[in-house]
Amino acid sequence: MNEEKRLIERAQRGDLSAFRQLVEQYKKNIYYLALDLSGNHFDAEDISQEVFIRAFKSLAKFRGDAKLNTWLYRITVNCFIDSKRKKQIMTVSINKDAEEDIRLPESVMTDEHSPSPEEAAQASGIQAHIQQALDSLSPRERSVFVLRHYKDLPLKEIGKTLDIAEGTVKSLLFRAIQRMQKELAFYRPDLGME
Amino acid sequence: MNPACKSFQDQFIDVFYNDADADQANAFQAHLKECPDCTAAYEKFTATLDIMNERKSPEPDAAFWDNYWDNLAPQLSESDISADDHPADSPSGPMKKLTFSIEHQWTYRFAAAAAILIIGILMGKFIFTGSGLERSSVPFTEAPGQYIQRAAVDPQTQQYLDRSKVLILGLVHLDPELMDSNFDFSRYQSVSRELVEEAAVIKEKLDQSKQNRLRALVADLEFILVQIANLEMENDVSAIEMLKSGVDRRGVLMKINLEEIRQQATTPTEEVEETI
Repeated sequence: MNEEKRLIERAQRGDLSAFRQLVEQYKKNIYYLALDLSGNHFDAEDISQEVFIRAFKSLAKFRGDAKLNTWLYRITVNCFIDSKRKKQIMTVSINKDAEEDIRLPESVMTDEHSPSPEEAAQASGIQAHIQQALDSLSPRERSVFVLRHYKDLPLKEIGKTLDIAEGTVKSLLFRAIQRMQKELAFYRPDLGME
Repeated sequence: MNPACKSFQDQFIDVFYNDADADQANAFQAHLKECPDCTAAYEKFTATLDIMNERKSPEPDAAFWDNYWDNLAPQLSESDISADDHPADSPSGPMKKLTFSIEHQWTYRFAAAAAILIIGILMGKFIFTGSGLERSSVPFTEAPGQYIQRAAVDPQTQQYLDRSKVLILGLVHLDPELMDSNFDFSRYQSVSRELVEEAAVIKEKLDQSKQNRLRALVADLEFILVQIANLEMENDVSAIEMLKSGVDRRGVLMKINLEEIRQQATTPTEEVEETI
């Protein structure tokens, strides 16, 4: 942590090698958060880079009251919300085919194993439905859900990150889960839930 | 739903994410054993989250991570330096460009500050007080009332300028990075609406007293305030940035400041001493 503090101080004085080290340290965290929020690689890449650009521009204002991680998460959520708004302004449909949306271009995909066609179809089906359930959430609900469920951040920490009360975080999370429950309702017979 | 069930269903999140303490968790499990409705509801809740656990994030390849900084660095420096100063494809290209821009930022800032200072002095000298000679020709014996009459701003206009200045200063200092999603822009808008309504009355007064420069300033402010009041996309950073640049372009803050300076400059010495 002390090492990080030193890096922040150096970066605040304009030392780019220090800022680069911070980027190297946090790039995966921020990219994956952006990916969970946006649901596709291209937006995640744009958002994560925008996060570091904004961080770079306002690093001087970072007083260290919050953890750098929390600060970067907050910028990420703001960038995500901004990007959603921009898309709405541009009247670009955000209800794109989730199956296509989540797929990475061949050039950036890791070829770890090749699933059978049946496995691939089943997997892409469930992935598309999960994506659809996430897309049904408002940006704030989605941010809270992603931070709690995928990033394992305690509610209190999420409250600090988004600058909202812990009670609000809990309500947003509950509402998000209820909404996804409705979206995924057709899975219930398969899962023996009804 | 009975109130006890409601209370237990409110605990789903705490129990699922292991945020409940031992007593709370035990009471919860005991309730589930005797309540089929809550059991069914909790099963649906956990099943939904189990499905969400199936989510797979695609993993970018190593080249994506290796090139991450090289892709980012030019964007950091984009606004500071032209593209052809250093070859961007050389490994150290982006770093050199960034170093160059940082080194020169201070020079640019210093030059800009000096330019603003000189412009301010010239404006003060030649615009607001006429020429230097004209000012010095005003006799000290002139009655203070005459100065006041020439430069006086009625209290309503002064209050209008003060309130507009505070509001616009608040807007100019909004930091998109620090703005949370709960940020309430409607307060800015309601004050803007009040000021816009007031502007019509003030402009009429200024027309009557032939205070054309002040009237133009109020009209400029009105234009900005109407934009704030009509902003539909609350919290939209790009819209707020657009407003900020509008404030910048019209130089309204500088005009208000200069107006204040002019007021002070034309206020009789006795009054200034009193206020000090």
